[in-house]
Amino acid sequence: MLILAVRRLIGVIVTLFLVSIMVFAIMELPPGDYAERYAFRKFSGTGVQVSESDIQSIRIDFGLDRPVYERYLDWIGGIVFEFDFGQAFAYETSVNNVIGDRVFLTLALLFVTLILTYLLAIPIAIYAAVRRHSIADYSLTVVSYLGLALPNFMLALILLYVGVTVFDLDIGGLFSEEYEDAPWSLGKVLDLLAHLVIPALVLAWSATALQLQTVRSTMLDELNKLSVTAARARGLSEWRLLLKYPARLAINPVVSTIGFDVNRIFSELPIVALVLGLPELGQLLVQSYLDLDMYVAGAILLMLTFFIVLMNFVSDLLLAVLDPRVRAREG
Amino acid sequence: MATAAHRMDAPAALPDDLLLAVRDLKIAIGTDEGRIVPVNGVDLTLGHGRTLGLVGESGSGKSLSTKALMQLLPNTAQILDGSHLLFRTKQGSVVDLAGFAPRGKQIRAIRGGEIAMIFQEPMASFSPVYTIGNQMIEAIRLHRGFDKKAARALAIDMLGKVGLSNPRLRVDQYPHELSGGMRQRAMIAIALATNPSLLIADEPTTALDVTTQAQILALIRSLQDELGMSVLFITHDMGVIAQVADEVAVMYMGEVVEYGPTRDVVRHPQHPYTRGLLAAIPSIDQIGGRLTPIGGDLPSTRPSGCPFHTRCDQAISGRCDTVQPESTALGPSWWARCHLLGQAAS
Repeated sequence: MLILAVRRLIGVIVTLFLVSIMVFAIMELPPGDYAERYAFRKFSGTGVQVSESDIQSIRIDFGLDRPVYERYLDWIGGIVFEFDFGQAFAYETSVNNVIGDRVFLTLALLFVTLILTYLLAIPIAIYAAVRRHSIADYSLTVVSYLGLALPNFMLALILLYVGVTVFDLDIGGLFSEEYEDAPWSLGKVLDLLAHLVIPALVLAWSATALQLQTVRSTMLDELNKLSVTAARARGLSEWRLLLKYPARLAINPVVSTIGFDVNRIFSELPIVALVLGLPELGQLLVQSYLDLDMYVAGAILLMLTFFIVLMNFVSDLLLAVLDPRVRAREG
Repeated sequence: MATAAHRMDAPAALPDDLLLAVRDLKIAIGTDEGRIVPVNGVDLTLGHGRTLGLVGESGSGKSLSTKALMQLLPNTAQILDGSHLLFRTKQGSVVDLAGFAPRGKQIRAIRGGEIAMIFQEPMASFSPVYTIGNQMIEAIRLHRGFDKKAARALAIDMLGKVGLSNPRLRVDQYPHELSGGMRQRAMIAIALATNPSLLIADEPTTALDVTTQAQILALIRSLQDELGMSVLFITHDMGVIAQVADEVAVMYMGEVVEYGPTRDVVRHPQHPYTRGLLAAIPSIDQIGGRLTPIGGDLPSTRPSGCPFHTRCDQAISGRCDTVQPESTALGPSWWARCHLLGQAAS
């Protein structure tokens, strides 16, 4: 178990290193740099002529003139050793200040979505598999296909409409007005959770639909296993043996795909956030690309990949905890 | 003509020397093509501490019949009215297992506690994610009411009894850490830890290699001597039956065609199907000689009259293909269902 954890951890570190290089390369890709954009913003329409040497001096001011590898080392060194993601030029402050709150809110949304997905998908799928061919089973199948087919921004719009017209809910944003700029308190956390439910539901929708199908089919496989009959032949009560034997194995595929779910949620987040008016990272990422504010973009990309890699690591460890065969195979 | 001496008129009566009597067991299964009756009137008796061998081809209904004893039939299957599965509990009362609800409390107390079962594939019988001890202790606590510590001690004791080396280590191992033979030993340990009065062994040696097979058979025998349980041994292998069973029941297409003491049946088989099965056993004495297979295939639906007449070279046309043979007594506890025997007796 320990060997497996250490081996996986080394894998995580190597992956993160390669990812950081890729992220930096992506940051370098767009033509032009922030010095040009800055000069354009500052002087366009003022009639001032900007020469190449003016831009060069801005570049030197921002430290953008140094060679690529130097800037990379500076950047990654700052992140690893000082947790400093660099300068957010367009906001004239540090990247940490710009993305700090949003990282936290994005993660809160991510975890609430994951938990909601699993709380919905696992018990419902197990029930559907046990009551196979029942009306409940068939209706769940229909709902889950709907879940796979319906684009989630559609769902977001529908929920917005229903929420506002029928329930008179305030579902835009992540906080009520009175908490928007208030310091953190229990009330604020509860307010945040209340606001997270709708976005989490929208984001969990397709993941739940997919996991429902996965868990249901694994559960059906497991139900026919001889080990289940053997447990039944030992006199265990039906629900006890269902939960102990097939259900335990039916959640394995869920655990092993946590990383995919994280990835999916991150990819769907920007458009859902746009519809629901949530301040999260995706929108900021797009904006920072438009501004060529590359350290902001780099920090966000790095954060997202970091969490995907991290959750994959967690999923590997969980799977090893759940399944002794995995432990045996990998030491 | 001596008929049906083994049949009892009062279904609830179970002679004192018997642990189990199956009377006229019929099981129907609903399939996409309609209803079939793969078990069609099975009669069996099993005495205390005895071993009954149930032999037959795949599809003869031997597995289904024993699953019915524990109410472990698939959802699509149903035990038909008029079937009786009389069983003497440890308290001494006689119950009819055919009347128990498949998910009820009554049958759950019987399962594992009074009747235990081991299966053909020892690996698949275990859940791969729990230790041997975990799956063993669960049954012990359920049926014997032991606390965790006592149950674990008994589990270790049983693992030693079935001949596993270092039982203290084995109890915390996972199934994939044991070999096939060891797993089947562990499965036997689980089955017998609750001290059942009947062990159903559903082809327990079929998936094992020959030397391991012999060891497992010897183990079951010696544990039977020690613990005194009865064994219902299912196999398609007449050779195995000759080694382990006191009585043998030969099944064909959902019916018992011959039942009797193993010595008699093996030496002087009376039903043509039994003779065919015995002739198909490879033997060291006959090296060079060819084996004699039973001609033809198992029909897909039950033929009228005697079910075996389509493959029987002695079939009497006009009789075997129209009239279902009654059972003919051949000894105190030996009978067969064949028109040829009825003719000889009359």
